[in-house]
Amino acid sequence: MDFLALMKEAGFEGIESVGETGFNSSPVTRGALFRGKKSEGGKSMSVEDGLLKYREFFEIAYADGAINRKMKHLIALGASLGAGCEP
Amino acid sequence: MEPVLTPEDKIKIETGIREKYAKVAGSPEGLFKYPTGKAGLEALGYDPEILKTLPESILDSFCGVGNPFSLGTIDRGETVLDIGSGGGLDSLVAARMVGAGGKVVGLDLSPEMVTRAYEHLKQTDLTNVAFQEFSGEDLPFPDGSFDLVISNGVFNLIPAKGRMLKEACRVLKPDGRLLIADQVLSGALTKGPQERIDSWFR
Repeated sequence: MDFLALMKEAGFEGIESVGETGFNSSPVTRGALFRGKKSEGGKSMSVEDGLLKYREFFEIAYADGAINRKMKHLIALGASLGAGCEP
Repeated sequence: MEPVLTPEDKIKIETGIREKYAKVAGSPEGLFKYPTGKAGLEALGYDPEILKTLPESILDSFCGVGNPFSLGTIDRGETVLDIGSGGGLDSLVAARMVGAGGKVVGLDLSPEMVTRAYEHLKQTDLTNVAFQEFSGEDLPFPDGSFDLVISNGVFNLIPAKGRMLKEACRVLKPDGRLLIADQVLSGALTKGPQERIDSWFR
C-alpha cells in the first residue's frame, strides 16, 4: 500500500502529494511532500467505506442464530410492509 | 504494503536508527547524500527571516529531506507536534511561527538527539517548546491534542507507518493538518527482505 493510501486508511482527507524536494537519499528514493487533513467531524468515511460497513452490519444481523436467516428476512419484510415502506 | 517484521527485526531497525542518529546528533556533515545544515535549509526554501533568529549551531544540525512549512501556514497560538524532531530545528521554526500563545512538542527516538535539541533550545529565548524521547507505536497524548503534526524525513524509518499515521490522526483536533516531508521509493528494490532490514536506516 503506498503512502497516500496509508494516509487515507489512517483517516485523513484532502490528501495531496504536493511535489518533490530534490533531496534524494538513494538512487531508488526521492524526497517528497505530503499533506492531509483530519475531517472536521472526526475520522472521515468514504461512501465506499460506509457501504462496506453497512454490509458487514447486515450480514451479522441476518446471520443464522436462534432465528434462521430466512425467518429474519420474512420478519423484516413484514415489518417494512407494516410500516408502509415502498418496495 | 507494510512489511512483515518480527519483533527481532524491529529491534534491529530501532537499534540501527539510534546508533546512526547518535552520530548525527554530533554533526550530520557527510552522513547524508543531500545538503545538510545551512546549505540544506537555504536550498529547501526555509524562511530566512526565521532562520536569522536561530543560532548558527542549530542551523548546522539540520538534516531534513524537505521543508514541511512549504506545505501550509502555521498560525499564531496553534499547537504543533513534530514527530522525529531530531536536533529540533523544525520544532524551533514552528515555535517562532506559533508565538508565545502556541506550543510545540518534539518527539525523537534518539536520546542524543533530544539532548542536542534541548542544548539548541537553551541558545534561544523560546519558552513554548518541549522535547521528549519516544519509542513505541502509541503517541503519548490524548485525542485531539494538536492543531498540526509535522514530520521531516522520519516516516521512512518507521516500520509500522500505517499505525503511526493513525496515531497522528488521533492526536490531531478535528480539521487538524498533517504536513510531511519524506523519502519515498521510486524504483525497484534490489535487495532481499533481510538485506533491506539490515540496511533499513542507511
